[in-house]
Amino acid sequence: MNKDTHHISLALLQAYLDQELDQAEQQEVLSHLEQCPACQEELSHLEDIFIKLEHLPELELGKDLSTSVMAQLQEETKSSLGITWALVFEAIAAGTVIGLLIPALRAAAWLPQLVNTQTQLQAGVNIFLNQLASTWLVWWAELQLNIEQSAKSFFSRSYFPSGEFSPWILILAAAGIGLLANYILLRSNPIRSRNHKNGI
Amino acid sequence: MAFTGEQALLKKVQKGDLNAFGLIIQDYQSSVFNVCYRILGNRQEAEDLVQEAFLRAYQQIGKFDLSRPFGPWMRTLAANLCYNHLKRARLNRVPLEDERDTIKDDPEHGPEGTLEINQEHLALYQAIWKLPDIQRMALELRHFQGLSYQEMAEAMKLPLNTVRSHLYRGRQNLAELLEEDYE
Repeated sequence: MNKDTHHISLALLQAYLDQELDQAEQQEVLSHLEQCPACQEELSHLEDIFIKLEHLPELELGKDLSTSVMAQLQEETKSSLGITWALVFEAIAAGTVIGLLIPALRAAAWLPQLVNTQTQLQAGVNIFLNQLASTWLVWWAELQLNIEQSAKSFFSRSYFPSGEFSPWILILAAAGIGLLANYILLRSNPIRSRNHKNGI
Repeated sequence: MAFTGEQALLKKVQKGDLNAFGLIIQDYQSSVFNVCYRILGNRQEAEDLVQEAFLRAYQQIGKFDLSRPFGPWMRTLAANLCYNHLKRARLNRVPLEDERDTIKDDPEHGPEGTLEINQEHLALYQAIWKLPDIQRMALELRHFQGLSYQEMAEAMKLPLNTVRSHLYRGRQNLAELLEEDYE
C-alpha cells in the first residue's frame, strides 16, 4: 500500500485480482477497499480490462492444417530414419577403425622388437624360398631331361636336330588340350543352355 | 491408471502413432491458431507458426506428462514459439508492425465474415498488438492460458518479479491504449 497517499498501488490491486496474494495481504486490501472509493474506482477500471480480455472472441481458423503438418512429419520421419541408419553405419565404421587402431597403437610400443623379429623372420623366409627355388630348378632340370630322353627314344633323332627339347612345348600343348576339353564340356552343359534360352 | 479418450490418444502418439497425432491436431489447431494470432497479429504468420508448434509438440511429446491436460501445454508451447519468433524477427529487423492484420480489412474474418467481431473487440485486438511483445506475451499467458505468476516465470524463463512487472505494465498500457481509442 502506498503510504503517502494511503491508497493501494496498482501492482497490489492487480495481484489481488490475480489471486496471487496471501490471505493476510488479501484481507488488508479488502479492508482498504471497503473504505476507499478512489481505490474501488481503480479496481473497477482494472476489472474492466480483465472482463474485456476474458470476452475477446476467438477467430476461426477456416482451414485444416493437420494434413500439412502430417505430411511434414512423415517427411521428417523418413529423413530421420535415413539419418539413423547413416549414424548406425558411421558408428559401426568408427567402431571398426577404433577397434583396429587401439591394438595398432598398443603394438606401437612393441614395434622395435617387432622389426627385429620381422628381420629374423624375413631372413628365415628368404632361406626357405631359396631352398625351394633350388629344389624346384633341380626337379625341373630332371623333368626336362627325362622328357627329352623319353621323346628321343620314341621319335627318331632327326626330329630333334639340335638335341634340345623344351618342356614349354609340352606345357603349351597341355594348355591347348585343356582349353579344347573345357570348350567341349561347356558347350554341352545343360545349365548354360537353359540360361541361354531364357536370355540370361 | 485409467486413461480418458484423449489420454489414450496421446499415449499412442508417444508410441509414435502419427494418425493419432492427426486427430490431436484437429482438436487443438483452432485454439493454438488463436494463441499465435493474438501474439503475432498476422494470419499467415500465425498459420505457419501453428504448424511449427505442432511439429515441435510431436518432437517433445515424450516429455509430456499424461496426467496433465494437453491443451495448456500445447498452447504455452505455441505462445513461446511465437514470442521467440518475434524476438528473432526484431533482431533481424523485420518490420512486423507494418504487417499486422487489421481484421476488419480481412473479408473472411471481418464483421461480415464467419465470426461477429464488434468495434470494441476490434479495438482490443489492435491495442493488444500495439503492446511490446513481452507484455503481450505476459497477458497471453495470464489471461488466455490462465497461468499463475510462477508458471509464467517458468514458461518465459524469467524471474518472477520481472514477469509480474511486464504483466502489470501490459495491463496499464492496454488500458491507456483503449482509453485513447475511445477519445
